[in-house]
Amino acid sequence: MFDVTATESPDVVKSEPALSQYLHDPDVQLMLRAKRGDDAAFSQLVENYQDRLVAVLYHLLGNQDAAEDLGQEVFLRIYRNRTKYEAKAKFSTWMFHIANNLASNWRRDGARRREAPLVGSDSGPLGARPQEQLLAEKSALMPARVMDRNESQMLVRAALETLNDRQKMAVLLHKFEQMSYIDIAATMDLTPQAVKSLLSRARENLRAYLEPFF
Amino acid sequence: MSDESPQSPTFTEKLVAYLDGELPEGAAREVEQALSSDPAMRAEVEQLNRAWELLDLLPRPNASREFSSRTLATLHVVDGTTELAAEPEIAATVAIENSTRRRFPVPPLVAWSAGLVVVSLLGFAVGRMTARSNSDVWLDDLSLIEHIDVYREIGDAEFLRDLKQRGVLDERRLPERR
Repeated sequence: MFDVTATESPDVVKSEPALSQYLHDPDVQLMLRAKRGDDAAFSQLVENYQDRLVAVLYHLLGNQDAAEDLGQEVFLRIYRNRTKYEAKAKFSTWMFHIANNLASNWRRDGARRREAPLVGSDSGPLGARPQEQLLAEKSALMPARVMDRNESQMLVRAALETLNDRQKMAVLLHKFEQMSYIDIAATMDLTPQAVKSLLSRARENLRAYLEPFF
Repeated sequence: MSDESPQSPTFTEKLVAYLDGELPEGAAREVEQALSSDPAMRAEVEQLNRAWELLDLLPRPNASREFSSRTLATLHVVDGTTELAAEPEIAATVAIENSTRRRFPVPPLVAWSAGLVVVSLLGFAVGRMTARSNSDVWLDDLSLIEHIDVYREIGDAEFLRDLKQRGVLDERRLPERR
């Protein structure tokens, strides 16, 4: 079972200005309305964030169905705990904080689980699988050849799979959500300095994997 | 930058933070000066940047069409009794809130379907209660069935009246049942 405490608003943003800063976030306003019982406001939040949430979870979990199931669980947690909500951070930071915790639990519990691979790819949590390895080996023999878009996409997915879970989450939040180091830190319960190191190692790993194909 | 070798993690962290726009102004200026005079460093930054830009190729799948409605429907269900068993403390809070809060509206199609099912079940139950079985009908007509051969011989009621007037029936007895 998921940890209910995962829904608490992150406290990492201690260096940030006072609460009032976040009151300007329109999604924080929607959440405050939901807290007061306005279900239409909550529906709007689901509409606003469902695609962004599912896209990140898809790459974290490697499976569209799992991403949607967990995405639904994230909104469920938020709704259940709406009365406890405090505007300590941007709404997106809080939401991805919950998503990160649930995804960690899902992966931990899922060691026994065998999920279907990503569509069009054989990448999994343990790294590149034969098809991508074959592509990488084939391409390594002729790095100068022009790869088509599908091949490039598979290669980038394989590169992403070489990252550990924390590096992957930091990369996805930074790349997909354009989150600052401070927001990523709040989302992942880390310090901004730890995020800096995490992203640096992640980018170094990506470069090492992709460099032969430049 | 002078106290960091180009291969050190700290050095790479600085370059990455520079690329991410996360360095303070002074540190960013230092990196720019180093870049302008060091082709190897420029090459490294270029490679880090290219690898990062390749991530734009990653697909960003949207949630399915049903995601929103399915999620909101689940919230509605969980907001009720299911939650009581799973998480008592939260359920208690929500249960109190439920008495005063507006719920998510039930979709009309669901309401109509539920109504149709209830009416069908009621109709079936009433039918079962009022409909008589075949065996009941046979039992009602048992005495007629037992003497069907005699009634066939008689033909119609007019013939019977005629026999009665003649006094034939007074002498005739119905055959014993076998």
